[in-house]
Formats: sequence, structure tokens, C-alpha cells
Amino acid sequence: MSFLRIEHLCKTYGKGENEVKALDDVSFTVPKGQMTAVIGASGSGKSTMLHILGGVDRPTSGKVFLDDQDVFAQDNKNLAIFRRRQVGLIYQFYNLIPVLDAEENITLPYVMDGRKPDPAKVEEMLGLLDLTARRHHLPSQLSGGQQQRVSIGRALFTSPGVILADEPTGNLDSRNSAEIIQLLRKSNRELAQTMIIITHDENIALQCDRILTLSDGRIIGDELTGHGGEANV
Amino acid sequence: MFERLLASRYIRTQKRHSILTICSIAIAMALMTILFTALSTYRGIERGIAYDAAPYHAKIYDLTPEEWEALSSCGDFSELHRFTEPDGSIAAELMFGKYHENQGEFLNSLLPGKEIYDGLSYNDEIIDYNADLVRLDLVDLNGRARAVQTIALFYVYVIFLVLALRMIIDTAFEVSSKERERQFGVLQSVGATPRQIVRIISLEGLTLSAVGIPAGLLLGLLLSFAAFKAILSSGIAEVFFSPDKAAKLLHLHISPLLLILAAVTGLVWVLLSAYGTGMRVVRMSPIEAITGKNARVRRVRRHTLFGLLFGWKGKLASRNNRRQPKRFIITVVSLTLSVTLFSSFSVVLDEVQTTYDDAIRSNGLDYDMELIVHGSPEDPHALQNGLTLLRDSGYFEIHEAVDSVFLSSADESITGHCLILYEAPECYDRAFEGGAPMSYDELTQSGGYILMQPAYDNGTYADSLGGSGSVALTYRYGRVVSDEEYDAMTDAQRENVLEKTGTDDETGEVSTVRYVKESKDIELSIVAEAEERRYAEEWGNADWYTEEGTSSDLVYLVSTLDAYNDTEYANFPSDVSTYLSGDHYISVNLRDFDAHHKALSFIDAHSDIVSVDMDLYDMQLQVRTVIAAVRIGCTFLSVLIALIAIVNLVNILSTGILNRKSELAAMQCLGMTRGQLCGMTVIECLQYALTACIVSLLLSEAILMLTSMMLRYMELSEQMSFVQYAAPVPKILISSAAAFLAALAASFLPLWQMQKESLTEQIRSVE
Repeated sequence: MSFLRIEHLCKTYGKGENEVKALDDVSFTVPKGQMTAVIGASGSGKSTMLHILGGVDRPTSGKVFLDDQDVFAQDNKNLAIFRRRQVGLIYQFYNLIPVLDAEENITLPYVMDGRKPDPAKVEEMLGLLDLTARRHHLPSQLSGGQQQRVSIGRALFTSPGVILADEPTGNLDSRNSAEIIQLLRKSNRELAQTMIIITHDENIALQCDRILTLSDGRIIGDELTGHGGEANV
Repeated sequence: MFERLLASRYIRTQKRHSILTICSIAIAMALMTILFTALSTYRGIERGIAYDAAPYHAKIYDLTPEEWEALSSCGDFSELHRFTEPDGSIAAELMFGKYHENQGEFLNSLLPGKEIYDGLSYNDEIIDYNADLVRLDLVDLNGRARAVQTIALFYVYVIFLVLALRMIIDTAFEVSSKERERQFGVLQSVGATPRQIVRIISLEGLTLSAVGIPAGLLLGLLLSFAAFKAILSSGIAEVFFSPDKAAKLLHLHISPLLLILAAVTGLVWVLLSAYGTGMRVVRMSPIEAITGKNARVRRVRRHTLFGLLFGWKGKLASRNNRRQPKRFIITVVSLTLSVTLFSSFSVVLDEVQTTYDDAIRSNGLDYDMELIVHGSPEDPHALQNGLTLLRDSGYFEIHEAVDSVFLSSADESITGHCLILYEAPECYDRAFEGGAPMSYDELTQSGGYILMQPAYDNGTYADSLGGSGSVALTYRYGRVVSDEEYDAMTDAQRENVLEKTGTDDETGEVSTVRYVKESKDIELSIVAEAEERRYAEEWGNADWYTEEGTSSDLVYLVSTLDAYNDTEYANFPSDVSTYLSGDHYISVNLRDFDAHHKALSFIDAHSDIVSVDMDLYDMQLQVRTVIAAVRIGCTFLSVLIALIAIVNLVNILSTGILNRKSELAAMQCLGMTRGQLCGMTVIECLQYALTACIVSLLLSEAILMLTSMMLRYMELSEQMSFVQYAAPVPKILISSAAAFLAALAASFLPLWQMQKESLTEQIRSVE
């Protein structure tokens, strides 16, 4: 059963001669708990698609349904609340808040929601991320791998409907990359998190359940890797 | 020279920062130019007045030809003119061209035996010494000492402002360099030495100064000209000078020397700011600059006051403001200086106003005109009718109109005399300072009187009434005796007759009126009591009313002018000469101060009823004009100060928001709503304004305390009573609220600009 449903998604930048179609009639579905990799050349529309799925950007046309909820039928305030509760975003450059320490960054979306984080859950998350000793360090005092782990922790902490990762290992060395993917895979399996990961790395894509290939804003490939799940283009 | 190439490329490519820095330099320079022009104009006008009074330093009379020769052969004069006086004697007008510690002693040495100066003063029979001009031309020790004092006082203020101006330039460089730390890090990593980095920033400063300093000087001169025109248009010139003198003496004085001083000071600050910024950048290791990571491990303050007050938004706001402590401190110091100086000016302005008001009130001259309403025995209601005429004219507001009657006590309840005051409606509440025991209408309807208790009385009079609520008094008057009645009187009866001879002002005709003293007992009901303190101050010397004074037997009763119409003595027949038959003096204010001429014409047209006794219009105009000029001056300086703070605030807050563009977008991607973003921004602004407010309050109170201590030390604390600790508080609160609003505008404008871009575009601005 589809958890994430994308229908005829289009995104156009510019007008007239300068018009660029970043996404051109993209439709697919993702069942709950599936870990999907999106690959494609630079400028193929991967990041644009990810931002639209996360409710960060609005499509020119088309719809996105998460758990049968029309994402863009909401006003800006509800869209922000949707992002806070239903989406976990992981960026290549982490986008951590420099004035907050590791623990505060992880719990930020939860705190923004007016909720008080459960200390036991915080401990568990820090343990999972191997950041217990670094919990009170600012991002500038952490290595790239540690920062990305904080970013993952922040995405996972609210137990969102979907995790969207934009080249999460693009800024890391191979050892840190392997650790991060292992972590994402673990949370996908243990917490049944639906994940969409944009990557250039074929090895990472192969560790996912499914691989979508984008070119010039269109899906040109959709295959299962054998780890499980179903293709639904 | 790659430094010059890079400096010019940075200036061209970073247009926003270049324009911001040029504007900052220009504004700082403009403000400094205004200050220096104000100083040179003040001194120029002061010298012009002294020169106009006597166009020489000294004029020496009764010179012998030998003495003239001695003067003319001396090379220490810049000007020397010989005159032959009407009596044939020689006189000389001279201007000192060289400095002498004491010009009097110098003249004595030049003209021995003339005894021009006795060591203390000049002999004004043989010399007219223009001490003011000598002082202003700085040609003697006294002049130079006074000049040093004036400049020192001026510079106390200037140093405050100049430090604030320095912050504008400093902030601009700080903001610009902060955003380019990475570029400087890269340069260092490819081999640029710290000296070269500092040189790049300094060259940038020099290049930007080449535009900013001349632009600032020009802007400052234009603003000075505009401000000078505004002050003149307040009418200050007409108050102190005739039109000819005003045209001759009142000019904007521009001192090229001070302009050069301003330019050099500006340039030095730019270079100091550039150097300081450069040194800060080169102190970072290249890797720190490139990665933006600081090798120093900072302790994170987990709990902040704003965090406790406003939750996570407060915590984020606190940390955002502290992430660059120097910026925060510069902004708070700049705001504090501005708020403190602004509130000081406001307090001074209020104090000037209060001093004038007190001086006028203590002389009983707090009205525009005193008029005489002509009365006569035939018209006991003359005052009422006169007031109605003046009210209906629309030109006047009744300031004080009181009719009074003296009565004697008929029994022992009250000893001595009683003065009854009948107040007009306009003056009633004012007379009681708003604390009247009953309303005017209630008192009119009761037909009774308010017993004014002397401040020292402790209720003695009230007790003596025995709760009866009434007092028996005797009204003594003179009844006019006709010639026929006088002829019929016996000699014994005639002993009680008084004759009063008067001369008619217009005809010069002398007439005699005969009176016989009569009296009438009157029972007055007392309906309320009040303290007479206000009356004691209003009607005479308060000391006179003390227990030791002579008036312990004088009692005041107060009623309304409307009730007066029903009194016995107001309705005496026309053959009774009473105190009420004379003219009534009333004071009025003009409803429209500019309609003075129309008001006078109205009085002329009704001269049979009312005439002018005293016209204080010119004096009030002078006072108003002086206060207006002080107000314009203070407002002008306050605006300058506010401008400095606002420029700093806009620089720091707007660039702070723009620098955090990607970070703010990231927070919105994580689910922060616009409302939460705005809330966090408001708290950040609040933190700036609140900190400045608290520091300003502490600073102002500390200054007041020091002033108070100084006055006590100089034994001036009694004369200078204006050290009021509460005075600056409302001003500081108001200016802090204004600073808060300015901070909001400085933050929300870039936020609003950013919201035009999608979150994706904003978040990619760093990637």
C-alpha cells in the first residue's frame, strides 16, 4: 500500500526563453518503510524533487500525498507544522544551527512543536548516533561525520513519516559515509522509516530497496535491488 | 601590486558592502562636520557681536604725540588707526597682532606713566578695552584659558559623539570583513602574509574614504546650513537683534581648519578600523577562517534569562546575539550612548522650560496680558459683564479674575478681618490646584463659602465655628451723603462724615464726595473647608501668613463669582460707595498667540468697558522664542545622536539577518513557522533594546549621582536643584522603545526581502 504518492509533479523555473523544466510530469508511489535511492546526473531534478516532497518548495503543478494527506493543500503555517512533524530532512552540508549544541540541534524540531523531549529518548538517540560524549558540543566543534550524525538524529527524533536525505554522504570520507549509510539502513529497518535518499554513489544506491533514476526532470528508471519493497511508477 | 588589485576587485564585486561602508563613512563624517561647523559658527557669531560692539581690541584716549609715536613704532599691532577727537586730543584704535600674557601690562610697558592698567582693571577714562574681542581672538592668556575651557567642555560632548561615530565606521568594516573571512583564509593559505591581508583591508578603507569623506563633508555642510536656517526661522534672531544686526551678524561660519581636522579624524578612524579588522582576521589561522571553525572551545551557556522568559525562541535569540560578542557590544554601547545623551538633552530641555516657567510664575507673570474691567458704583456686575465680553470675543482665556470683599468679624468666632474671594469659573479649579472640596456649580448653588484653613492653623478656625456652619461678619461701607443731607446734619453727625476729593483724569475737574460710615451684619454659611496654602502662595508672601506673621487674624473665604451676584453687598443701592465700585484687574491669556494685534484692536473698540493695564506679549514672545531655539538645538542634536545609533543598528542587524539567511531557511525547513521566526527576531531586538535601556538607566543615574556629589562639594546643591533621579527614566524608556522599533525595522526589512525567495533558494545561498 502506497504511503507516499506523487502525481504528475512539474516544476518550472524562469519564463519564456529562460524557462527550465526541473521536473516534468513525475509520478510514483512509495510504500511505507521502503528505502528508495534517487540517482541521476547533476541538474536532473533530484534535489528539486526532494525539496517538493519535503514541503520546502511548492510544485508548479501536480500533487504530493503523504499518508493520503494532500501536502500542498495546506497553508504556509500548516505546511511548516507538516515539515516539523512528518518530514525529516538531511542535507549534504548538514545545515545545523551553529548556536545550538548537538543535543539541542537534535531536539530542535520537537521543541519547536512546543513539546518537551523525553530524556530517555534523547539518551537513546545520542547512543544510537554515538554522540553521547559530544552532546554539548557546538557544530563547529564536531567533525563532518559527527555533524551529519547530528543531522540524522534531528531528522529521526520526531519519528516523521518520511526521511528525505539529499546526498547525505556527499561531504564525507568513505569510512564516515559507510557509517552514515549503516545508520540510515538501521533506522529504516528497526523503526520502519520510509526514506528517500539522493545520491551519486552507486554503492549506496545498491544498499537501498529501490532505485529511481532521473534525467532531465523525468523518471527514466525504477528498479528493485532485491533488498525488498516494490516499484510503483 | 596584488593588494591594490584585490582591494579594488572586492570593492567592485561586493557592491552592497562597499555602498554600506561608504554610507557609514559619509554619515560619520557628515555628523562630525555638523559638530565642527556648529562650534565655528558659535564662535564666529560671538566674535561678530563683540566686534560689532567695538571694532577694536582697545581704544586709547588722550595720547601725546610721543605716545602715539611709541604705539606706531611697535610692531605688535595688526591694526592701528589714529583719530583726532573733537577736543583736538589724539586717540588710537588698535588690534593686537601678537600674543601677550597680559595685554594691560604690555600697554603699560609701552606707554609708561599712562597707568592704563592697575593690575586688576583698566582705567576707563583713558582706554576702552574690548575684553570680549581680545578673549575671542586668543591674544591674551585669559582668552586662551577661556578658549581651552570652552573647547574642553565642547569636547566632552564631542568625544561621546565621536566615539559613537567611530563605531559606525568600525561596524561597517567588521560586517564587511566577517563575511569575507573565508576569502582571507584562502589568501593566507596560498601564501599571503598577515601584513598583506591588513594592507588589502587598509587599501579598501582608503579607497572608500576617497568617496565617503568628501561626500560626508558636503552632506554635513548642507545639513548644517539647513539646521542654521531652521534655528533662525524660529524667530530667535528677532528677539535679540534688529533686522539689520541679524543680517550682519548671523551667518554660518565654516572653518576650513576644522573641516580639515574633521577629514583627518575621519581618515584616521577609517584606517584604525581597517587595521583593527585586519588584525582580527590575521589572528585567525587560515583553516579557522576557511572552515569558520574556532579552535577555541567555547562553553555553551545552556540557560539564559531570555530562554527562561521566552522558551526556545528566547534561548536561540540570546545565543544568536552572543555569537558575535563584539557586534553585540558595539550595538549596545552605541544604543546606550544615544539613549543616554538623548534623555540628557530632554531632561535639560525640560529643566530650561521649568526654570522659565518657575521664574515667570514666581513673579506672578504667567499670563499674556493684564486688563482692567472698568467698574462703577452703579454697575456692581461690571466684572461679570466684562468677563462675558472678553469670553465672547474669542480672543481671550480668563487666567485670573477674582473679586474680593473685606469684612470684619461681628462676633468672637473669628477675630479680625475676613477676605472673601469670588473666583471666576475658569480659575476656580486652578486656584485649588484641582483639589477643590466641591464643584463650582455646587458651590454656586449652595450660595455658601469655603473656609480656607491656614496651613499652620490645625483646624482652630473650624473648631471656633463650633459646627454651626455659619459665621457672622460685618460689612463696612461708605454711604454717599448728598449736599442736601449734609446741610441738614448736625455738627455731631458731620463728625462721622468723610470727604474724598478726586480729579477727573480727562477733564481735570476736581470733585468732592462725602461719605458716612455705615455697617451691616451678614451671616455667611460655611459649606466646606480647604487648605489655604495655594492662596498663600498666589496672593502674597507665604511667610506673611505664618503664625508669627501679622495676619493671624485674617481669614479667607472663597465663593464663586456667580454666587456673588446674590450677595448683599453686590446689590447695594447706587449711593453706596464700596470697594466693589473700582476697576477690576484681570489677567488673560491669548487664545491665539499670533492674534495679538486683533485682540488689542478689540480692546480699543471696547475701551469704555475694558483697557490694557500691562501687556506681557513681548516678554512671553521672547521666552517662547528662546525656548523654541533651545528646543530646536536639542532636537537637532538628538536627531544626530539617533541617526548614529540607527545607522549602527541597521548595519549590524540587517547584515546579521542576511548572514544567517541559509540558517534561518534551514530552521523553516525543519518546521519553524513564520510566526515563530518573527517571534525569535522580535526577542533578539528586544534583547538589544532592553540591555541598552538598563545600561542607560544605570549610566544616567550614576551621572546624576556624580553631579549631585559635585554640586554638594561645590556647595551649589541648594541653588542647583535639578538633580532629580526620576527625571531621565521616562525619557530612557521612550527612547529605548524607539530603539526597539528601529531594531524591528532593521531586522524585518531583510527578512521580508528574504521571504520573496523560496526556501530552496535561501538554503542554497551557502551551499
